Amino acid sequence: MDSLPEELIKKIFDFCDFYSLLQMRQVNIRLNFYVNNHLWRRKELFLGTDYIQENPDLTNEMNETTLKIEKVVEFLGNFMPKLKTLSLSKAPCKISLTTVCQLSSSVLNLEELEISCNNGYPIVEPDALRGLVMFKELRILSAKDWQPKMIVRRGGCHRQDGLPLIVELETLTLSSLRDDVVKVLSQMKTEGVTMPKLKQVMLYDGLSSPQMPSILSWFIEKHQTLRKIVLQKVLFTTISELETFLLVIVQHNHLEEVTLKECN
Amino acid sequence: MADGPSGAKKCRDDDVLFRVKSKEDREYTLSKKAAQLSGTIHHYSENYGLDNDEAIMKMEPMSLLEVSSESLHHIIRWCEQHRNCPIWEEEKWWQNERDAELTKWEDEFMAEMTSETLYNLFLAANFLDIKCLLDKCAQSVADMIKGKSVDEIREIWMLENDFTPEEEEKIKNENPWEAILRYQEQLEKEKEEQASQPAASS
Repeated sequence: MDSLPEELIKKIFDFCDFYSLLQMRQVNIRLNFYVNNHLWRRKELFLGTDYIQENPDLTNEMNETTLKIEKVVEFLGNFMPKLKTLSLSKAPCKISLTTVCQLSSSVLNLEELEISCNNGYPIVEPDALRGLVMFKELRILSAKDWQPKMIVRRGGCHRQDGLPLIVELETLTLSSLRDDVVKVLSQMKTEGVTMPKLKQVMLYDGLSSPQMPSILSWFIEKHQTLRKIVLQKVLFTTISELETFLLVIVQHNHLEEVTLKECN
Repeated sequence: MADGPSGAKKCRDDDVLFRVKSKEDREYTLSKKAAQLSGTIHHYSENYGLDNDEAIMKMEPMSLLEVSSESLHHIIRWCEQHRNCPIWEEEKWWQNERDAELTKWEDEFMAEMTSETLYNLFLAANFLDIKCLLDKCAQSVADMIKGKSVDEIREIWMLENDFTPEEEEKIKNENPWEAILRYQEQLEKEKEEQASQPAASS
């Protein structure tokens, strides 16, 4: 192994999972240098799948502290600052507003973020995704099975957790097995949040709420930059709801493609 | 069919034979089609005017001073098996869906290799610029350490730990997955304990 030149060692790294790379950093000074170099240039990281799937024994033993997210953030800042795509899907950790804010300063050029909580992880704390406002380059956001909570303050006042304004966002995917997407869209409507550069949106609620058609009409009307919309399982309860929705679509300036799946 | 001292100038499908020489001065032949997988042989052919069958048949053996006889033997086996695959220039064709039999052959071919043979083959594939073999060797070397601990990697790759204890501790602490590592250590301990128990009882 010592006889292999640098270019071949780097080639081996292309076939290594993230776990192996981290182990190799600890082997000796030469490998540590090469791995750090490789990580420095790396553009993609799928935290949960790159790591956890390599260790199937772990899946039953995971809890929210299995992955120390503060250390991940620090690690990314120190060794992988050029990351463009980050997936936190299935990562066994707890994401707070502080984590997201720290992440935004560790990985300044992040363009794509995926947070899918379909095995219960990561646990997204209230208001955590509000920190996405700090990402100046984020173009693609995918949040699947994220359950935004109702945040109750002292005196009983409350508000719905949701998304902030993300200046550069072009593609948004929200899906939920329950009715969480409509909650996020309602929060955006209440707070007047719109994404000025949004081009594509994919929305799916497992349990369609009666509010969905009117919220959708508002959302599409307010996002005149949209080119493509994919909607799944939307329930239009009256003809007038459907008519309003279609009118918004027809009057939209830039829409090129609208896909309706399993809508009634 | 292609290794050993060359005598015949034609092989199956009437393909002409390239003559190559290992660093131990042993001569081998490989078909023109198989040779097209190597960027180095391709450039050699261009530079020495080996652009027609007649010129190839009259060629002096090409000296491969960086390649041992053992590696060259394996390289020729690989190239002959892949002689109908796209030539060296075509990018990453081996990543596309392809013949299951060929994939099986490749896996068996790699399984035959000892660590040392594999590293030498890797170096030879790099020297001869055979991209498909280069990737396969890299994949095989990476597979050797998949899921292994740091000590196991050192043992497999025969590498010395040249960190100071402080450096080692620092790097270990940088790993954000320490909770997982701890869990793995615990699992290993449990396994060791389980293994030692029957021995103790017997």
